[in-house]
Amino acid sequence: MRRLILPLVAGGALGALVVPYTVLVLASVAPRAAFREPFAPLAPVPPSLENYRAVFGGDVPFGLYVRNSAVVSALATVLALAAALPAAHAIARRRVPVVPALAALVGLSLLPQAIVLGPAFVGLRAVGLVGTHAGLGLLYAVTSIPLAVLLLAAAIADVPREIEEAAAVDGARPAGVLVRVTLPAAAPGVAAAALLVFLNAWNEFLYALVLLPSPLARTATVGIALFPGRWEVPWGTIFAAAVVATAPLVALVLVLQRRIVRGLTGGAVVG
Amino acid sequence: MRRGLGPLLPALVPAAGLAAVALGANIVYSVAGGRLGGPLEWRGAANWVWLAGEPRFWAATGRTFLLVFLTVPIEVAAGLGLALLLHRNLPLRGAVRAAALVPWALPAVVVALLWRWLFHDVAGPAAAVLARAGLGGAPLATPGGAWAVLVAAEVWKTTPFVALILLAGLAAVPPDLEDAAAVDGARPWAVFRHVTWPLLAPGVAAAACLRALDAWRAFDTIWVLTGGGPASATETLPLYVYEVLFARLDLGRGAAAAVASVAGAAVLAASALSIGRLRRA
Repeated sequence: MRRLILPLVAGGALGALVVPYTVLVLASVAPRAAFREPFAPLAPVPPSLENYRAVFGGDVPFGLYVRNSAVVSALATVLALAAALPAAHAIARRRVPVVPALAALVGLSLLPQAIVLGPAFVGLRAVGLVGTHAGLGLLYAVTSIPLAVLLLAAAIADVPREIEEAAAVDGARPAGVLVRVTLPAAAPGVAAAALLVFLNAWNEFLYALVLLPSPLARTATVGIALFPGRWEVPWGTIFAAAVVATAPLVALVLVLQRRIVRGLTGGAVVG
Repeated sequence: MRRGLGPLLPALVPAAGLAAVALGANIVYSVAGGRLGGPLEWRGAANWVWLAGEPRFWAATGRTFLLVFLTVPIEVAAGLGLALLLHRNLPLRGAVRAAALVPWALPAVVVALLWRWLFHDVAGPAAAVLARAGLGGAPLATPGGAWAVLVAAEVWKTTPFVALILLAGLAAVPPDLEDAAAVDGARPWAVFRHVTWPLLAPGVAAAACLRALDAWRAFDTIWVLTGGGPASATETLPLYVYEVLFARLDLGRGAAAAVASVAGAAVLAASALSIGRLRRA
């Protein structure tokens, strides 16, 4: 009996973690009519692509929203990683006081969105960037910098110092060594960092809701939350859109899971 | 080796600059802000006096504390349990560790919509189960039910992150110490209480602090799941600030509420830190 307890608890934990998303995926292939019964969408036999056709063929330009999200998130990722790189390297190589630097970054990462909303709206409006993807991407880049520094520092800390020293002896300048030697050597960790910064921007909702007032400019999260229903909530369409917007990134997260866990938990930087 | 804070600047200047400018601008708006989009005009303490006498603001403040105190202890306890589970050699360990990243990687909006459907009064499977168990079929229509669903959704989404942080803490506990205690005849609970826990406690405190400040600013899950309702039973400070700024278009009052919410976060952080210091003393 005692030997059964741990596997049962582990199985229960696994179920609690994966069942809700599985339910979402199942419900996304349930025909629209199934949603009149509470349990029918959980067993969609035979599966139907009705909801997916509605996502891309309906009144809502969801394909455009996905594209908007991709543009904003890619811009944020490139800018945040570039701004974070020097700090990440200095922290990984302990050229700066590590603990105060990390504390400052973690503190800044907890900035409440509530105090950014008003000034961002007023400020971006003053320079004509309200409603533009560049404005939102810029804001995401700045708010993602702390995360980018922590993840890049974890990636760089795993690269042996000796590689950099050898390149420096050969006469390369420090910035050149960082970009041409250290970054390629840290590629898997850098990929995980880029994915998480991208994911952070992709999943964001409140800034996108406020700063992109035009319906055609919306990102995927805002589009999903504001799916209009004429007489009832179009659950099937919403869930199909949610699968489209989440499945590729969830798959990538699972592929890079070891790197992600190492980066998120400080890995070699703190330990 | 060169030493100096230079390399930190490209990261810290924009990040700290945004925080400083945002806070400064809100303070200015709170004494000189009128309509959102209109010109600034001196208001003096008018917005602050209004806020101090606004029952809905105080109720939202209380609910924000309530959300923190309802979610963080559950997240930390469940996260610790999950971390201890993942730390052991189990057949399902790899699968559970990978699965833990799923709730964390989903947008809060998607999690909230899923939960809203699960507990929907007409079509929701979880609501139907509750109805069949005689527990009432419309949890999101009652304040208590809406809070329960909201806490469940938040806990599901954020517990895995707590577990991952604590798992890293557990990995740093030298296995030799635990083995030595076990060889000396200590029972598993005693090993945990006297060997593992003292080494893990700082990580637990840090995770609790991070989660508390994150719950304090939570918006997406609540706005999409309950919209702050029923009535305003789940309206927390971030929803209230959003409402004043973008539904009532009142920049001055919204800014005052935003500054007050930052002050609340500071109180929360300071009390968490002082509790940590007292425990150590």
